[in-house]
Formats: sequence, structure tokens, C-alpha cells
Amino acid sequence: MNRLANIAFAVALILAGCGIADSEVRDPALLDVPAGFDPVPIPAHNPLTVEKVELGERLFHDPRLSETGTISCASCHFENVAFADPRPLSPGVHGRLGIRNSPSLVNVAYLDLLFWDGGAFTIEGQALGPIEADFEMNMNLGQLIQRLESDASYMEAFETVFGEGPSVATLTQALAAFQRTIRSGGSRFDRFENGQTSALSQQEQRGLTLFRDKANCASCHTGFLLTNQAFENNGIEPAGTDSGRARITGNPADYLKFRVPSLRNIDVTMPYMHDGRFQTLEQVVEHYDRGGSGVRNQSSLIQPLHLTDTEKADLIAFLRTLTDDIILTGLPDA
Amino acid sequence: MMLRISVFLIPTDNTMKSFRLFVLPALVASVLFLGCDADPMHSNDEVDASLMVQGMFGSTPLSTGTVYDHNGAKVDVSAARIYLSDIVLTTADGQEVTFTSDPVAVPAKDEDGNDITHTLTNKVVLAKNDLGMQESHLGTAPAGDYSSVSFRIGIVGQDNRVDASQLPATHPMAKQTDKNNHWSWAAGYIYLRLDGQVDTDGDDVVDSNWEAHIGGNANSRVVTLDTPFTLSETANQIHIMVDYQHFLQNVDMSTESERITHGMDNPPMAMKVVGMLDSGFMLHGIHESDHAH
Repeated sequence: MNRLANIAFAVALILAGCGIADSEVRDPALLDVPAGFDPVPIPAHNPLTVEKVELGERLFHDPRLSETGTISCASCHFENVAFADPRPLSPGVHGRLGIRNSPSLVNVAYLDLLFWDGGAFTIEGQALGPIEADFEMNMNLGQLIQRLESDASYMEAFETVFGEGPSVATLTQALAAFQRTIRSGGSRFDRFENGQTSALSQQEQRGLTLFRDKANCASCHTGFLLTNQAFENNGIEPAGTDSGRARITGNPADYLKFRVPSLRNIDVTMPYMHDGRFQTLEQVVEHYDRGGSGVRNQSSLIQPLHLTDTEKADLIAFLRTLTDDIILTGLPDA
Repeated sequence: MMLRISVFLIPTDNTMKSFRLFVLPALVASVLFLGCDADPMHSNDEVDASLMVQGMFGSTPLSTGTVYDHNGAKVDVSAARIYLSDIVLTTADGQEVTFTSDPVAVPAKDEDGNDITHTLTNKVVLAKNDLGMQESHLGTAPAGDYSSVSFRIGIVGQDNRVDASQLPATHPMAKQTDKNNHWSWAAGYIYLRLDGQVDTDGDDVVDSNWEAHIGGNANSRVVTLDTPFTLSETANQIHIMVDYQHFLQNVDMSTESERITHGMDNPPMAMKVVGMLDSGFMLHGIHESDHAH
């Protein structure tokens, strides 16, 4: 399956307009965005080209980016579940486990900060986190560059795309270019928002109303990304030593705060929360209906909701309309 | 600096003319120069200054193949790296000499979280002392007497909010491909990176990891070495020594909680290291440069 072809086709199906990039536009089709989306931000130093995206896709799926040659980016970001991981914690090299659930990469181009704690601020820079982390790919960057240089097809591809061989900069630019094409906005909810009122059932529409009003989900899950990109303590009880955003800022006020994730494709990106502790949407809704656990530093936005069983069912029915089938299944190669 | 001349003249018209034109001014100049000879040696001559950073572990030169005794524990060192920036030489008469690098533009975040392009110009030295002594070219400085050399441990401000992955590989702030001095997961530089292994069970085998990684603006320190020195055309390498064991002086590696810190994940250990940062350096002397530009 060619992801680039899939994405281009998916976007073509739902396209309502073309985005305007803030950088040199070499391949305008790569910048097409779904209706209602902002133009995709592309850094000036790393314009998208078809060849670069294809190189990035190849690298994304190549396990030679890991110490043992067994773990690729795609080993923890599965295309058929919106580039998330159905396991609470993803095993890295030698079966080592981290402490957080692998997040979906859908629409990652729009994120201001990466990782659950916002520790990286560019997709290029972020790419090296899992490559170097000892519990993920545990790869020495110098050895990785040597591996790529020893592969004539990679050397040719890098030369074609960048006019130079593999380096930390060109490797991360290619990976980032591919990830910026993983965009999704073709759910039934999007069609409803764009005027197709029949796209949602009556129950799902009641769920949408709850989402925006009584359940207060839209306080954080808002905009076309369905996230305000803030960091919040949503009342999850701490597990282990993970302090969340505070690990980055050193600010006690950020204790147990994590990035508000997008809810797009939420029905297929289980398990939920930063450590994958909830397996079902029902468990998630129950957590919020209780008003969280009352843990120290819990957001004031998390309050008991007093939802009825019918309301909970309606809310979950709505959440299931956020799935974009095209990005999950892709299309056969031509 | 001194000018010495010897003049033997037969006073003819021509020679008198030459005397007036050439020798007299030279004699006047010699008096002026002789006057300079007695006081602060400073001139308009520029020299190529460099900084040599030598790693020590206590009183001995750091060696990655050596097992050291540290507070009663056997330890070795596999990585010993430190970032120095804001390097300033202060002349004997109080003038500050600073250094810059070739400008490099790189993606960055500003304080408010906006994406920007930032241009790096600060002269930064990354001393990789696990690889031996490191000499870095600083730039030109006036020949003469100096009262001190100062530098910052670490990289702060906007320079500490750049995307290191996008810097040219030859830049000292680029992602290092062997032992990295930048946190990919927390955009920012590791000012001090110390790695090694320690014997924790008394069998004399160093087989448990220890790591002291320090970063963050608040943990940066400015060091001033108030030792007079002179730079000249033939002696322009400023040789400083950094005692990595000194940084660990208050760290007890027999305790599991004092073996690994990456800053925010173990603040108590990090603070023990940070507290010793500014007192672990000394000026060894001024030497002839190896011209490792």
C-alpha cells in the first residue's frame, strides 16, 4: 500500500479547497487539506516534495533505524489504527517497555508541541527521540547514518532529494515530510459540519450536543483538530514516576499535565490516556462522569457530569462518528 | 615590546638629510616603544586565540579506560562532555574581548512558543573530554596581558530553544552522532553529560550505569578564572582544566537514587552536581596553539 497515494486520494475525495503553505510550494497537491482545515504549516527549510515524502515513508517503515534492526517507526504507529498503537505500551528493542502509549500521528503537522509532555517542538527534532531512546529504537545516530550510507539505494534517494547523502538533518527532514502528509478530516462528523445533516443519526446529534454542552468535552477538544493543544491534568491517578509536563518545565503547576489529544479516529485508537490505562470509550466516559479522581493539581474543568446512561450512550455514539475510514483502510495501488 | 637600534653616522649633508628623514623619527619611536616596555603589555597586534579544555578526574587526567575510586565506590567514565559559551577575556586594563561564530540560521521556538528562525552567533565550545583534550579556535584577540577568562557552562536563552537536528553536522551545537548532548524529548542542551558504570555489589566490577545529565537555563553557571595571563603570537592557547570528579563530590553512588539524573527526573541528585559546577575549573596556563581551528 502506498501511503502517499492513499492520502492524496483520500484528500481528493474530501477536498474543498487548497491550503496555502508558508514556504516554497514545490508540489501543491501535497498541501491539499480537508474542508475546514487550516493550511498545513510547512517550515520554510523543509518544503514537501513527492520524492522526499516517499523517502520519509520508506524510512518510517525501515527497522534498520533501530539498534537490533527489528523496530521501525511503524512498529508502534500502525496505519490501520490511525498511526496509533493498540497496546498500552509499545515494546521497543529487546522487548523493553516505555511508560506512555504511542499517540496517533494523524494531523501531526498541525501540532505546536510533540510528545505527551510537549518536549519537542518540531517533527524533525521529535523524530530523534524514539530513535535514540533506549526503550524504543536505541540507535546510535552515527551508526544509523553509516547504515544508510552503506545502502546504495538510500544514497541515491538522499542525493536525489537533498543533493547530499544521509545526515541527521536530512534523515529527520524526510521523516517529518512524510508525517506531515498524514492528514485526516474525512469523518461523518466532518460531513455533518460541512452541511450534510444526514451524516449523523439523531442519537449521534444528541451526542454532539452533549459533547459541546453538558459533558463539556469541547472545552479542550475543539477546532478542526479536536484539541486545543493545551496541557491539562485530567484527573488521572499517577502511575509510576511520570510527572508529565512538569518533567519538561520543572514547574510544579504542570504536575501530571499531559497534552490534550485529538479525538479524531478515537474509536480505533484505543487504549486511551497517556498510559493506555482505559481500553474502552465507556471507561473513558465513566472517568469524566465521575469528575476525575481528584488527584492533586486536577484541572478545574474536570467536574462530575451526572450523565444518564442514555446520555453516555449518545456521547459515545457521537465519538464513533469521528472515524475517517479512508485514512484507516487506504486504497489499492493503481 | 621593544625597539633597539644602533646608528653609526658620518655627518655629511646627505647623511644628515637621511638622519632627519629616517633615523631621527626612529629614535623618537624607540623612546616611545621603550616607554611601553615597562607597563601593561598591550598592543594592536592580534593573535589567534584558542581554548584547550582538558578533562580531569580528581588530580589525574581523565581516561575512559580507568577505574577510579569515588567516595569509596569504584567507577569508570564513558562520557565526559561539557558545553561552554559566552567566553570573555578581560584585559589587564579592564577591556572585555568576546568571540562570535559564523552566523547560522536554524528553526526555533521563541519564549511565547512561536515558530521562528533564530541565528546563532555565540561562540560555543563542546568539550568531548572522553575523547581526550579538546582545542577550539576562539577568534582573534589583542596580544598582551589579561586578568581573567570567563565562560558560561551551558547554552541559555533563545540559543537553547533551537532545533538541533537541523544544524550543520560541523556546528558544535548540532546533534552529536556519538554521545549526544541534546535532549530530543525536551528540546534543550545537556550542558554537562557524564556517563559511566559503578560497582554496586562490592565485586570490584563496574557494571551498573550511572549518568549525570544537566541542562536547563536555571542550572547554567558562569565561571570566572581570575588568573593573570599573557597572549602573544607564540603563546595563544588558553589551557583550562575541568575536574569532572569535583562535580560529583557530593554524589554517593552507593545509593541507587544518586546514580542517574537527567535533570527533572531526579532533581535532588541534579542539584548536588549543579552546586559544584562553578568551582571545578582552573587555568593551567597559556601554551603554543596546536591550531586546531
